[in-house]
Amino acid sequence: MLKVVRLDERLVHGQIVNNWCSSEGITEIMVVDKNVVRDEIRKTFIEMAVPEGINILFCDVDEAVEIYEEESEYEELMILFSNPFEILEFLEKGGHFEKVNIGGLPYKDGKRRISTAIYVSESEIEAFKKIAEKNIVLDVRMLPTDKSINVLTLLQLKEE
Amino acid sequence: MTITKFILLFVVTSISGIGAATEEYQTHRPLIASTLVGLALGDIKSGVMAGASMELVALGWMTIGASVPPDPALAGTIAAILTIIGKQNIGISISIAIPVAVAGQILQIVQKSTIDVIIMHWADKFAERGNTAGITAMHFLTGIPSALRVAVPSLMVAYFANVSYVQIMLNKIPKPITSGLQVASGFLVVVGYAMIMQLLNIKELLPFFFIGFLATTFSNITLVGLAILGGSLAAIYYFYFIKDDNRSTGRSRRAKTADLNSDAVNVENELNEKKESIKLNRKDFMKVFWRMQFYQLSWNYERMQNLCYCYSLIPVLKKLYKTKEDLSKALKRHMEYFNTHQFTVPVVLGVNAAMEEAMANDEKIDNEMITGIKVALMGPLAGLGDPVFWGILRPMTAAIGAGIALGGNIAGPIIFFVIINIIRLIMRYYGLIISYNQGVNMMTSIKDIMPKIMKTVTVLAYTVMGGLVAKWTVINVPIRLYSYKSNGKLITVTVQQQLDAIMPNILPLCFTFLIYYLLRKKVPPVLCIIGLMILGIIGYSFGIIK
Repeated sequence: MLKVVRLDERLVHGQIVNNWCSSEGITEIMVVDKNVVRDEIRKTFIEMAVPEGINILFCDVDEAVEIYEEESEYEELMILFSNPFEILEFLEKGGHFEKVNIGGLPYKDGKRRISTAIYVSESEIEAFKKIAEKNIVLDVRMLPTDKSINVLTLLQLKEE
Repeated sequence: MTITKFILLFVVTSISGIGAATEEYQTHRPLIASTLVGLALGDIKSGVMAGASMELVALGWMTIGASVPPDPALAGTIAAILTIIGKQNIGISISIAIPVAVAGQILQIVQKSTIDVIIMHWADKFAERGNTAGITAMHFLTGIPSALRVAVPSLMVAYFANVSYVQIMLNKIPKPITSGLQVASGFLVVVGYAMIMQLLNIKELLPFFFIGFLATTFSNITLVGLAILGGSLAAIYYFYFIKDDNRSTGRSRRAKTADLNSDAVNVENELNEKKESIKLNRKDFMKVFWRMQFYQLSWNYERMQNLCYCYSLIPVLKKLYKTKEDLSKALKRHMEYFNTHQFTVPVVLGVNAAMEEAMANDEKIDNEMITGIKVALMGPLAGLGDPVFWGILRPMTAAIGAGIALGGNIAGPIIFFVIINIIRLIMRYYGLIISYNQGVNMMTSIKDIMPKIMKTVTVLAYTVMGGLVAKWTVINVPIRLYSYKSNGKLITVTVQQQLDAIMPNILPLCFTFLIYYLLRKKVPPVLCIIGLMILGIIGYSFGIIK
């Protein structure tokens, strides 16, 4: 079953390993990121951090769209993206899910803060809006026990 | 309260505040924060006892990434202040301290996303000018708001708890509530246990939890005995079941990516060959080591550990880059976003120092590669550090310390402080040196042994947890079931006696698993705590629980 779709620039880290994997009973993590797929060092490190008993897959968007349905039949799947653009690409290429959890987008020059751990650029806001147009819930939460806030609410609050 | 005590209280609460920001010496854990308050106020025993009870409730409160728990430092100081100055029972003190800690959590977020961000921006300007002293000053400047964040609320509570009408008010709290909360404090600890259980979460190792539980229920085993039992079981488990087990359970798909490591090794070999022109020496690393003693002080919500990291690496950068321009470039590079677990950060610093050295010697390494390796390492190392240190090692040592301290024994906080700091110093020193010498290679070898170590340590953790549940959860159901006459004496049988006949400590066990279940259903821990408090008050009022 596809349990969680998460956007987190740090990909696999403490919040994923400590909290999400255990609370959702994840058995497989699919990291969808075109840069990581080609970066052997990063892959090695990420594999190291994934707890025993959880599969880890690395793929680009095309491959992800192709295999995610089959994977989610056999595994409790978590799909991890590092940026909203690839999420949008995933959806446009035929992938589907109902909700994406936005866990962390760190500060970079020119980004503005919308929540404790979320900084967005203009192009990212555009991507979020396009994702929302596809009737997908954008749920801002660091941990599963945190209060869920929709990213659109945060964006509107900041615009007012 | 005398002015001396007031000043002493300010000093110790500031120490806890700085501890909360750095999470280095663990002076922010309630066990130590309360003990320090007890020391300042001249009533160590009460401080130790309040700290022990608070610590067990707060066992699972930990920062993970940018997510902050209720402030354990404030929880600790307030619990001790209310017990000692307010002369309240520990149940009441904890019940008031918890909401204050939740407010403290918000205060912490505000501080680290406003004041600390402003200070960090000043550090940006110093980096621009290549001024390392300025960066160092900014790093430590953040210590002031961090200290005040805990010290000011603590002193305010101390002041008001000291005023007679507040005390009269506190004393007017109806008996069912005060006694009910005191009763609740006996089993509030299950929230802490359940949070740790949720983190351990390897279901097939759960039998070890029951072994620990049974051993404690049916014997007079001490904590140290329990730890030795857990250690022995872990050793048996390791040597007989996982040491030579290469079946890579459930990881068959990894083969797809695992054999692609050759690239990583190539980069690594290049790095190793270039080490002939070594310029950094042990002295430089000792400087970095000392700087790491206040590593996470300047953590902020904009770029997290960036200033901490930059500040720690200054000795290396200063040695390698002689011109102001080069130095400024390097400093700015390390003022970028960075965040990982603070006990695993020396590994990144070590690898980084090696690359920085190679780059300074005009080798084929550029900015991008250094930033790349930091980005690659930070997530996975946090993923390792959070469960190992915050999820297992700290709660285990804290729980053992708290257990010893429950009766007011000062050895409890001391044992906790010493053990956790030895672990910290080992990580800080060897993490740095080994990773500098071996570079990325070390990470590939860690990858293979890490899951095995995790499982082994989890066996120990489960055994101790099981023992803790049995040993320090106090629930008593004295309600009368029936009475009969035997030899002319009236004998009353209570629910508790019946339960004990079935299985002693069965209620603590059920409560732990109930909370564990609720947490899995995503009920926030604070809500569980409040629920248990209400249960305590209602239960006491109706005479069901005592």
